[in-house]
Amino acid sequence: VCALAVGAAHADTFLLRMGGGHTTALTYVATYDGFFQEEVTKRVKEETGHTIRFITAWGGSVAKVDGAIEAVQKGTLDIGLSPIGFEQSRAALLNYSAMVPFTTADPVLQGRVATRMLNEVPALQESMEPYGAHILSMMVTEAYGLATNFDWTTIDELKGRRIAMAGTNAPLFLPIGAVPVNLGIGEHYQAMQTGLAEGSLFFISGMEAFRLKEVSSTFTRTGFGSLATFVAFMNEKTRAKLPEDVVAIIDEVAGEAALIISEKSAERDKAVAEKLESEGIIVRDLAPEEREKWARSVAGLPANSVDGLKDRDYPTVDVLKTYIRILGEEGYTFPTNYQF
Amino acid sequence: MNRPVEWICSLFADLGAILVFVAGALIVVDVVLRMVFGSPFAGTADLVAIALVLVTFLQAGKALLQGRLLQITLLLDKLPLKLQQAAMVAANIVGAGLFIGLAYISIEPIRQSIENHEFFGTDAFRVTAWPIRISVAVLWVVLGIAFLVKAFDRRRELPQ
Amino acid sequence: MIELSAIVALGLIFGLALLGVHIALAFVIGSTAGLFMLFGDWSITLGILEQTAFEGLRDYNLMVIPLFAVMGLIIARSGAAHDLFAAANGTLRMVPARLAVATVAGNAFFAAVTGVGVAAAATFSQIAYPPMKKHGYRRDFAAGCIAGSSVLGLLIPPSVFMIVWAILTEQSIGRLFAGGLLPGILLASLFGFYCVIRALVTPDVITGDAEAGGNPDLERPDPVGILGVTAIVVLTLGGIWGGFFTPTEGSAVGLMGAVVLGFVKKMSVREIWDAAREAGMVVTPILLLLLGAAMYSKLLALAGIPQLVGTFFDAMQLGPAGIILVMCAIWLLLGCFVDSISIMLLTVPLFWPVAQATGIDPIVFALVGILVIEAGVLTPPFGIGAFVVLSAIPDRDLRLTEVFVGLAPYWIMILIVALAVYCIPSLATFVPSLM
Ligand code: NA
Ligand code: NA
Repeated sequence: VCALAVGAAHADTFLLRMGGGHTTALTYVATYDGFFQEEVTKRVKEETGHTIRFITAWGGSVAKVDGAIEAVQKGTLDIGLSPIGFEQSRAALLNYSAMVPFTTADPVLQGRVATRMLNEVPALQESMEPYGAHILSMMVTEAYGLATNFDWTTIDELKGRRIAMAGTNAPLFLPIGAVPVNLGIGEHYQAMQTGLAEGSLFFISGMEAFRLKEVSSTFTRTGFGSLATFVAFMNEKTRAKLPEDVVAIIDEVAGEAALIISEKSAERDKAVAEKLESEGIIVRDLAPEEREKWARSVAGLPANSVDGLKDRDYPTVDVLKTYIRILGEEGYTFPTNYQF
Repeated sequence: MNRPVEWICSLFADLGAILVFVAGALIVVDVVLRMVFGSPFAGTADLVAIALVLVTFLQAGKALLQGRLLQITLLLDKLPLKLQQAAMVAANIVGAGLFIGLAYISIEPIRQSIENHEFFGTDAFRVTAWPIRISVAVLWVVLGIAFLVKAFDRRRELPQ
Repeated sequence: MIELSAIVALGLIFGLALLGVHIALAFVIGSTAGLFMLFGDWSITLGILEQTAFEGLRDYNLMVIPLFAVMGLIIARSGAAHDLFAAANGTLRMVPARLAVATVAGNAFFAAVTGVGVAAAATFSQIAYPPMKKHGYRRDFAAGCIAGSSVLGLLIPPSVFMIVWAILTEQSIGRLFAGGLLPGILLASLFGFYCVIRALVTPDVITGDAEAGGNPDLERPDPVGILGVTAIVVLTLGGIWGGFFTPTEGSAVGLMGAVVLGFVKKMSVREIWDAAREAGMVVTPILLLLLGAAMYSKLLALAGIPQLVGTFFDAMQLGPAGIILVMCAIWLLLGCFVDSISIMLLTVPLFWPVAQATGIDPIVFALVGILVIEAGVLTPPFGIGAFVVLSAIPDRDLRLTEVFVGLAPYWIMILIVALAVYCIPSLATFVPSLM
């Protein structure tokens, strides 16, 4: 941040640089690019008289998907949006929702849980202190599911099928005998077109945004659910330099942005499903007993994650137990009882 | 001073060439595991990515000493010889400063990497980060020294 | 102040590069200065420098660049390129200027297994120039043919140039590869026709007896070389387009294929090893350049320059064709000073968002860009491509002016194909649409 020009006694102009690896094709980036930017600028002007100017750098032009936290830490970005599935080293503990498979498919519910987690588990915010990064909000993804060019109803039918996905999701598929093909989402379309992959693990909105519907016949809501793995980080030094009332507005708008993202994700899940069905693509939920079977086959994953973080001073087990408890209080129970 | 630096840069470049083959072999093994056994190796992408960083800086010193780095000499060639030499000395000293400086500013990230148990990759496969960061910093120092050698070498290009 | 930082950086990059500073270094130094102006803080500036230097190349997909380079050099040194040339020469017995046409054809085929243009120029300078000279081909005609044909390697996949373009514009490498196929074949055909017609219209370009024999090593091409290259093309490009693997995986499989071909062609381990080492020397400068350019793109993004360039093009009210034309003019101009990859790294991050807004197909834009930039580096008086050929051709009498004179028709044909791709987009998009 730099104070560009000093106008009247207390009216300063502040420049904020905001960026991330994903493009505005994703709901959370679009919300920060639009709503967050506009509201912060407007409210800061109205309530404090200061002027905020944003420079945005999405799509990896400053920080790639695995680089936003480092960019925030180094001060390159004042605010960085990070898909923390790619940041399992720095944002290790924040990945709690990805550590326990088959969570709720309702982005609004997961959003409520994410907000409560951030408020009720101080360890989350503390875990980012070494990186000088303050968590503005934890935002939810749309519900994950499987686009396939073949029809299937039981997980046995996935045996030997090649599924395009980010490498981090491979452990969900290996136990049921599916074959992960490690590819970025931008490459899924071509992979399914050439036959390199027969399916793609992503959100249903990807059927539109990444044209997967042209190469798929079925979208199955597998029940991996909506994860709280999009996180907005803000550089601690920037927060210290800005006037307190400006920081308060940023925090307030970040909270509202998270709510909007939850609602938009839920709406988008529904709207895209309806559109796809009207276009003749099968959209279905995986049967509960199949989901349960799949969940049992990957029941060891939370324990693996706990094990992987042994060398850190994180209360990983407590965090996961709190997460499962809060989800329960908000009305979601996991299909299997995870032991760790 | 020149000889040992040339020798080390040449050795490093060879290591880089070997690493390209190792990365290629790893990728082929991964393809075979996927096609034949339906079970790819989770670490391929991360290991290959790290290998490329190492390959680049392993080979950079020799490429520099052999005069392979891209340069525009058309203006330079028109300058008096003394001025040409002065310009090249200055350019190479700047290069030396850059890479030795890079190594210096990477000390703090290395310290943090050790302290925070940083790793590359995901739960599916992890590579501890600090040995890689230290290796790259060492390669930067060697590259910086190669720039110094280049700066004070009378020959414009060293023998291959 | 914000925009000024980018202008100062650009000025420094050009200034330092023209003073002979390694271009990659000029990128880094210029960008660092610009970032310091932007942030007014050394710790942030150096932080970006350190993060970029370490993370900029930590990318699985970039490994294709060294893999394709090693593969191409092993095949070049296995003698297979010579076999392709000899076979083309053999089948073209009745064609005028057949050595020149064979150079084009050999280059087109060899292009399908090599990723870097320099490799093709160097290889064919060694294998095609001496026989052409022996048969009385005029120096400018022979050198122009070799220099012009080397462009085919960038257009016909695999191509490091296309890989870099795909990375800069976040496109699929496989689709861009497919897009280059038809324009590549079209350009090769144009080159071939030109050689024939030129020899018929101005017979003095070949003073000797072109049809005479006396080239024992061109008479019996080794079928193993031709079959081997064909097999590698089928293996890599067929494997990529057939859904067996990604382009990165294809390059690794291709490398293994090249090693096998090398052994079959009786290369020693030492010779294969030397090819790999030489490939490293060809490719490392490109990788360092990518790193320097990554710094520069970050500066552009942090200074908000892409939006500014967009506004600038909007203000000129040029219309889509006008915008592309202005870009082409800038590319041709830059080609007089800078090498093609650097031009791409300097301009594509700025031009791509603007071009996207005009609605041009991304593959068409890529191919027009690649063709025009390549024409740029063959432009007199300074075009770098011409110098590469001049230094690679084993003929002390060859003058730079002769290379440029010989090149001029190729330069025009390259621009004709660029125009054709722009006007008939399906030339570029048809093959990718089949995938
Ligand atoms: Na090629
Ligand atoms: Na070039």
